[in-house]
Amino acid sequence: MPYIVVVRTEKYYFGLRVQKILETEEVVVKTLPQFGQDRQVFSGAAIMGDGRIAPIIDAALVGRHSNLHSTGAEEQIARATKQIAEATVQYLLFKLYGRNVAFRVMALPRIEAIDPKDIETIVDRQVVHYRNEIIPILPTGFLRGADAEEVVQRNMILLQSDGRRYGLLADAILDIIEDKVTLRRETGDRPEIEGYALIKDETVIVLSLSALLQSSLAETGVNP
Amino acid sequence: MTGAVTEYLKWKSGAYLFGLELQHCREIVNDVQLTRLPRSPAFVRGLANLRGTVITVIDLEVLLCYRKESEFTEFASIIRLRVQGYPVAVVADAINDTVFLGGDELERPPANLTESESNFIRKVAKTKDGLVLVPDLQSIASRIN
Repeated sequence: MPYIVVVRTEKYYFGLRVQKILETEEVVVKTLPQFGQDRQVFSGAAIMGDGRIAPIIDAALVGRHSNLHSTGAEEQIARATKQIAEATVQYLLFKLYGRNVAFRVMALPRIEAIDPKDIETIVDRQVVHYRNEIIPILPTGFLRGADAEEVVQRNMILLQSDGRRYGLLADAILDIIEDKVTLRRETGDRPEIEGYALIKDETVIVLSLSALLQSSLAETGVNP
Repeated sequence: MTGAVTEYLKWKSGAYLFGLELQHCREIVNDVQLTRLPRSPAFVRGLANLRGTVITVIDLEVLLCYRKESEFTEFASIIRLRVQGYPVAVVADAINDTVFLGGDELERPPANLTESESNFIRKVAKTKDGLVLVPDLQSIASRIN
């Protein structure tokens, strides 16, 4: 079954039809000669673990060679789209303890499927083994209600703050929405909760990532 | 044999015999795995991983316009060249031997060559195995870079 990988260039979103998705991997991209011609669609090449070479696609060049270049009218549309995009905010929507939860994202964070066996508790916090690194998991127990369903969390949203990486577990990733959202906040709400909003006709708890990180560090006394 | 004598590595690519000063050949690797590079020029056979370095492998026959397209094969024997800039290797169908050639055995290429030939062939030498074409490394390197 073919898949569509949605890529974003400076101006456009477009889809690349791919046969199979393998996995995400951090790679070192080595430059390639450009052969003095305007036909290249690769920005470089990476050497994979098995020794094979993976040419790295430059999305902007693919767009240009597919005639997705901008004309005057298109540039106007792109400018208008950009203005709208600047006025709206992106939210990553996911399920946690059966609840709809979201947080604001500036750029799409990395989302990884994890094996629950890789999660362990060290002293008073949970950590996950991720690519030979120990990633602290942000505590979100306050969201668990008494009637919360027992769901094994197999998704981790990888976040970065001050050069350190943190994981936020999720039952399931639902969507990325781009919308103007009106937040409602009650006095007495925990600082980790930025507010509540109606997104896609459902009430969603909007988390404040900065507060979540702060409280996580405060709870464990970790120096950032 | 008169003049300065230099050792050349000889190899065959298709029906053609090529030779290059041994000092310009960095290494010979047999049966290296190639990765196709779509939208690259026809003379690029593919990319090879040599101990963590990505090498652009070129097909001299196509570069010299003896053939229109390079036939992709997953494995090939290559000769890595000693050039400035991006690492480059050429495909070799059969690596013959080394031969000592004196300055008087090497000639400038004849005037009736095609444009590609005169761009990329520096010298020719008559040997008992046939005419040896000596590629111009600087021109090849500048074509790649």
